[in-house]
Amino acid sequence: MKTEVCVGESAGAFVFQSRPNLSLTRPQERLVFWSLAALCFAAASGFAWLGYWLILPFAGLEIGVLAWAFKALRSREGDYEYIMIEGDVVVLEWHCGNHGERRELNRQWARVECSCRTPGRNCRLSLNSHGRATEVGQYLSDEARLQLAAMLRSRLQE
Amino acid sequence: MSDAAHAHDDHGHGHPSGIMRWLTTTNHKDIGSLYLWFALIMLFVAGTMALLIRAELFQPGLQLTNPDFFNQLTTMHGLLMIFGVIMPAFSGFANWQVPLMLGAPDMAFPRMNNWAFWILPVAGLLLMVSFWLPGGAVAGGWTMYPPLFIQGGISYDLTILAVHIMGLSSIMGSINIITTILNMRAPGLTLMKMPLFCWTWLITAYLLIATMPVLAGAVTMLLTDRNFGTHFFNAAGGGDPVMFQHIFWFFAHPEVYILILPAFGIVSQVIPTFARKPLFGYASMVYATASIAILSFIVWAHHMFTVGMPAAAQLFFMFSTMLIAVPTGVKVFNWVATMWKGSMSFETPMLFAIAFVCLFTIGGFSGLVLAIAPVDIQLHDTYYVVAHFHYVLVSGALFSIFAGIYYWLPKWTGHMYNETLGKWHFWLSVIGMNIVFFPMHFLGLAGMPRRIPDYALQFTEFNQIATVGAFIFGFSQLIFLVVVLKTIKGGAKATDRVWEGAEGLEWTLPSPAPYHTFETAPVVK
Amino acid sequence: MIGKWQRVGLMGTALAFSQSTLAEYAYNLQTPASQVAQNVFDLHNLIMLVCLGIFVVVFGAMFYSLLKHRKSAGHKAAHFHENTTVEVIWTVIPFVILMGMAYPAAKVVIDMKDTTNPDMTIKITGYQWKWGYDYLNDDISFYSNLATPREQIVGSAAKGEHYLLEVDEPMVVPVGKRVRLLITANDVLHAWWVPALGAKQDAIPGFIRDSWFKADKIGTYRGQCVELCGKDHGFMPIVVEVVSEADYAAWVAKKKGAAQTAAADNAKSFEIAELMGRGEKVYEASCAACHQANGMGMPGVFPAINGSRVATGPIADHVAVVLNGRPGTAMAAFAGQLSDADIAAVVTYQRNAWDNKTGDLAQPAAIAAARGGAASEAAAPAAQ
Repeated sequence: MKTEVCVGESAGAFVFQSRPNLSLTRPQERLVFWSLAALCFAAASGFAWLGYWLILPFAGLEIGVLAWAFKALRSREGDYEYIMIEGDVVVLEWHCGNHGERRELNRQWARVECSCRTPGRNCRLSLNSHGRATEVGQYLSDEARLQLAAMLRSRLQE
Repeated sequence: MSDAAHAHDDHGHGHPSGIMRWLTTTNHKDIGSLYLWFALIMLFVAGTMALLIRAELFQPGLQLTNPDFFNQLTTMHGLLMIFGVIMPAFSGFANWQVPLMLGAPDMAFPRMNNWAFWILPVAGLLLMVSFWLPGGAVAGGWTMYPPLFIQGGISYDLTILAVHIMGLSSIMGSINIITTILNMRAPGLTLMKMPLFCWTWLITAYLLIATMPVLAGAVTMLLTDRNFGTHFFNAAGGGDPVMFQHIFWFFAHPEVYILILPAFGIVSQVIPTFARKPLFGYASMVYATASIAILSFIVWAHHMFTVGMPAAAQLFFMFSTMLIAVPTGVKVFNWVATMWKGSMSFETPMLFAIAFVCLFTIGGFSGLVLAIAPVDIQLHDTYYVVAHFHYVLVSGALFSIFAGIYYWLPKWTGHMYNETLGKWHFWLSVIGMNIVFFPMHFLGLAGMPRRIPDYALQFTEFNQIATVGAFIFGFSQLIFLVVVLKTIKGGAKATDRVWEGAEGLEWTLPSPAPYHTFETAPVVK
Repeated sequence: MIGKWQRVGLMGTALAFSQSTLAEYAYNLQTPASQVAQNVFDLHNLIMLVCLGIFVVVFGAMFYSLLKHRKSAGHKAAHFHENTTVEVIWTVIPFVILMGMAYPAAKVVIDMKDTTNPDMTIKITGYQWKWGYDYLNDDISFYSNLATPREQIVGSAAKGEHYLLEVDEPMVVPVGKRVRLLITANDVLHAWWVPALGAKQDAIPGFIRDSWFKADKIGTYRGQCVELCGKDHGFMPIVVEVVSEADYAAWVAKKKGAAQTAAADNAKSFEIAELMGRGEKVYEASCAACHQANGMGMPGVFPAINGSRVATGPIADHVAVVLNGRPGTAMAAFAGQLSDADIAAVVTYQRNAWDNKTGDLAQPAAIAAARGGAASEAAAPAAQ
């Protein structure tokens, strides 16, 4: 899966969509994980068979951590951010790990908030409405985030 | 919530200042710097121990140390140089460079990255503190062979704990590196387009994950033998002390390659840059690295030819060990072919890389001599072995680290280092290093055992030469410290590309590399 | 040939740093005194020649390139970056060279491992920190301690010619006989090595491993323990005296006479002065390495004997510690190492030397009694 940042018009609607960059393919993951697990357990079981069993629990623990790590990567597979502005409706959708939400804002009430700790650096971008802020542009660089802010502002003020 | 997501939330926040900034940082560049500083401090600590050892060995008789303290010095020098200098330094390079080379914003698990570093000083402290405990520091050799290791005092238990902690740190670091390399490559950057440094670290991390449980299990069994009455390695209770050696070297031979593969990676980045010519035989380099890693699992018993194994086993381990010369040779030939018909210039990183190729090959030759079982039986546990592994670890691993620092320091700090001082550091190091370690070949051939605080008179001359060399080599490292500090403070402004022949994503960034880089992945054609 | 190359490389360094003559520098393995050592010597020379050849070819090419293909000389970089033919060639050629080296090496391995048909068998036991020798065919047993005086080591006396490579009782073998070695250890790992004879074997507690040698020339051959075995690892040398058949027979006769004297001693009753004199020698050889000559030990590592509860408390407990050792520590069991008379002497010495003025006297008969039921096997090393 590749980083995808799409910005564009589709049937008069403004659409922005981005995903984190994940380059690990399923077959690669399987190869790496299972070969490591096989190697570790083969060595540990070999020694256990000779009576030196205390390697086994460590192998188990470690492969457990490795499995958790790959699972954590997988959990980001479905992460995305989606913004659509059509007419007076602003649709915000994001998904991060097990969390996610879909929010519909009224274009008139939606405000773009962008603050940078140092000029042009470490910027946060959010869409505010009714006292609640939703962060957007998380997968972007500061520059791209500022561009997105400008684009959203011009769209919301139309 | 995963670390990844967690760090994600941190995104854009500022960071605390002062000591808390460093304690809590999850930034790969900060953590890379921490690893490298830790390694540098440990280099001076363990190097001082080496100088004490060499000073004691300047002449026959006991002058500075007693035999017990001498054994503590050799043991701690070994443990700290391996687990405190070479491995953390390579982790430092991985932290700094892997995300930059892949076009990734950070490591895959930034929080785990922070933990992996910060438990390391704890382990170092546990080891160092033992010098002041009753009975002194651990003195049973870095290989920890029982039953000698069972005899020692409290510091032996602390050492086991420290080894566990360092192992845990390595596992967390490796999982981080392996996932980063696999999952965070920029679009278009396929595995076979990755810089070789990433490839060598990918394989290194794989080896680390595959073998660390074996080390953890081995030292835990030592611990239970010492304190809980088990008899894993006690013949009187039905155990076998030699099995410890089998288990230990099953871990430690891959570990040996863990200490050298990233060095191959660094040198493979440096040489093409200064030869202004692409690396020769990229694919065969990758395959050679992988073959070395695979072979490392079936050669371990060549460290123990003298324990007395059946002839068939000796022959098997001798042949498999000799086979390693093939992929290693391919690497050396490829480096030479990269230089061939290049347009070379000789800045300090290149000088260290060339010294690496030459001197590592000398270490390879003595390795080939030691692979021949009958010759190894004569030379095992003599100074010949000491000469061999210092040629691969000092002029191999350490020189590659120097090459890497000089090579990337301008990118990291935004300043060029002082070339004159760099050249002084290089020439004094390379001359000093050869004066220390070359005579050790002759000492070993003449029959001087390793790990002895005092020696027979016929070994005097070469020992004196070695000691003189050690002091030249040791003190010339102060130049390195000065160069690094000066470069951090100021110096000529480095360009983005830094080196005329530099290729790769890290050189597209400004110098110094900004705190956050590649938050959106670049696209590699 | 090899020596010459290495000499050239080191000549400058050697001249610059040493006041002594070049003749003292040795650049190769020790002169072999057995066929196995000779084979290893030749094998090593062969490999070094091969390495030298490869070194010249590879680094000849590299240094040519360093000279000619430099930017400052105006050389423009070529752009080739792979060549399958070349890469296959330099994978295959090393492989072939290695096969050529493997064959002679394998022959030597098989020869070294062949311990059959010995003319005599000697069991060698490593102790912290001395060697024990048991001649299984001649029923002779003895221990071999470092003979270099302490003063030479700490620098208060001039060092002798064989500093650190001299023992009180060398191992003696006849020339031209196949000697099979059964090697083991009593406490921790040691390794028995005499370079000129080409025999090295780890000594492993609880296991017996074998090795062999056949010395070709009469002479004295020296070696050292080569496996880290604790504090005095550097101070447990090995001396093998290779003698003619007749001299060997004479030596055997002498050793048997000495064994009879020792057995007679065990039946005797001694005066305190005799025991103290003998005890001091035993103490120097067997105890002083850890507990120190002044009985103060090393704090935190080895306990003091001077003023200790063991050496000033009940004598039976003291004897028990010496006989049985303290399991799990470096304190060895001396029941199998020392005769009744020696234990009696050393216990008496420890209880009356320094500040320990107990006035106690231990006699060999009391030690024999303390050994209890197992006495007969463990009484003296000669009985093993």
